[in-house]
Amino acid sequence: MKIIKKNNKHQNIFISILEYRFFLIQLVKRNLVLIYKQTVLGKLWPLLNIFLQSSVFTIIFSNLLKLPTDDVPPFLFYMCGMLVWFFFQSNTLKTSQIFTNFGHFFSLAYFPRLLIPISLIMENFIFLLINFSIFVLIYIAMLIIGYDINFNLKLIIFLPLVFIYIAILSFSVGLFISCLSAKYRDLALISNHGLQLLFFATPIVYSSNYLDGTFNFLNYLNPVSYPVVFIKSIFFSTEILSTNILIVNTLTCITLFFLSVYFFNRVSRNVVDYA
Amino acid sequence: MHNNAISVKNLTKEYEINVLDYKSFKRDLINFFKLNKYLNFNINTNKILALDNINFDIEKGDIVALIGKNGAGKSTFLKILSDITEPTSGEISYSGKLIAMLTLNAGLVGDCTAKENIYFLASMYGYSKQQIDEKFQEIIEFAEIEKFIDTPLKKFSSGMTTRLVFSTISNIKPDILVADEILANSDENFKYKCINKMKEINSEGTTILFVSHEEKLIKNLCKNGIYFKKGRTSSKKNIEECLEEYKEKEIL
Repeated sequence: MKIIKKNNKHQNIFISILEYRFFLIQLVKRNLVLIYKQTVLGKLWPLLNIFLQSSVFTIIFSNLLKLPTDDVPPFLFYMCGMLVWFFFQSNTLKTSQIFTNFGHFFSLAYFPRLLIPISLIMENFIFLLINFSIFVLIYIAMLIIGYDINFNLKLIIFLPLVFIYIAILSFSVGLFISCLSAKYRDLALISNHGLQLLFFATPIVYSSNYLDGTFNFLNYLNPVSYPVVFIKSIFFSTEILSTNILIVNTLTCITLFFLSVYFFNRVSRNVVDYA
Repeated sequence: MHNNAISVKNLTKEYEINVLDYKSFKRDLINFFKLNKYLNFNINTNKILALDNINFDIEKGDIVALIGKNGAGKSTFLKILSDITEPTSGEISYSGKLIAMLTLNAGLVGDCTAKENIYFLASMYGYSKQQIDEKFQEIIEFAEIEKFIDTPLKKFSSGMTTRLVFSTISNIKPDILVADEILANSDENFKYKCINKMKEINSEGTTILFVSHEEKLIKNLCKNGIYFKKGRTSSKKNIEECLEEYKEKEIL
């Protein structure tokens, strides 16, 4: 017996995901297939993405501008930070555009709306795995060649946590932006620029050791900083930020998550009326 | 209650029909913080009552036609029934699996093949891989697209697409089937094929809600009818009487 009325509580999300698991797989499959339709290089593109970006950064920031990279080979330094950033950025961006890009979906049939952002994370996660493999290959190659890179064995077990944290954070931020821009689209238009600014506010192409005063404080406020600095310390034994920041970040992340899911569920009930 | 497939009680749906800009944003903010009482602000928006206190019941195994002019509220009602949007007040309750065919382009993607689209569509309605695998052969046979299962959907004609969608949904039999003007641009042959298919699944227990403007089809298929006019409905009647009422009130 299904009852439809205003402000109705929908089915438990975990049961929904279980029931619609084939749909989730179809969504991910479809998104992945569609990106590379009618391209020649097709499946090679995800491999080139971070590689190309890191190369450009090495030339500009390291060779040209001579930014210090904490005694770490620049290419690896940039690629490592980009791993985390790219995951965060593409996830946030795609999730924030759900009502614009998937709006027509919502007017077709009922399905648990949260499946769409979940499929986006899964899709981005696959790209993350691909990029990470490439990073590891190059890392090992450079180790063998003889570069002086210090691996921090103690911290390696926390690596999955870094990605899980970023996944939850970008999921929440993306949902928030999509909710706030469902009816009035202003926020969606500036979120791209906002992300660009955030890129420079995060110590990806520079080291956090050189920050002091206001910049240091702002760095603490940035929830993406800690994971980026942390992943670099795993692979290069550079310094990590203080644990206080980690605690604050995690609490913010979890709160954001529950708020954004609640918000999203409420907005998606009527979004068809105005999106 | 157990004989009712669908039960509609006091259903109302209001829509805002103004443009969304800074004026409406101001209104929304004031509404949100509930400051209407404190600010002497005119909060009258352009609202229309798409559905106005609708009540009826549909029994299991019935085939009901929803008749009315364009804009009478039929599609709005079906959107609420499919849980795509919320009612302003009132409620609908139904039992069993409901699938609604509201638009022809139902989540199909031109770049993907017919087979991929069938799987996608069926999974969107909650079916598992196994269920779809079982029915796959039937689906492509009914839609007469055996040669085209690996063709990208953008190469299909609109008729072929309709056949595909209808075939997918009717062969994985739901408990309640809703068809919103889907036979509008099909050829005669397919129209009757669909009608016969719907009669067949109806005899197996599916309740059907059918929206169309073609009298012949409605008389052929439906047992009862509900007449929509400007967001209100008259009570459910025998299909002949319903069509009479429609002609009386609208056409003359």
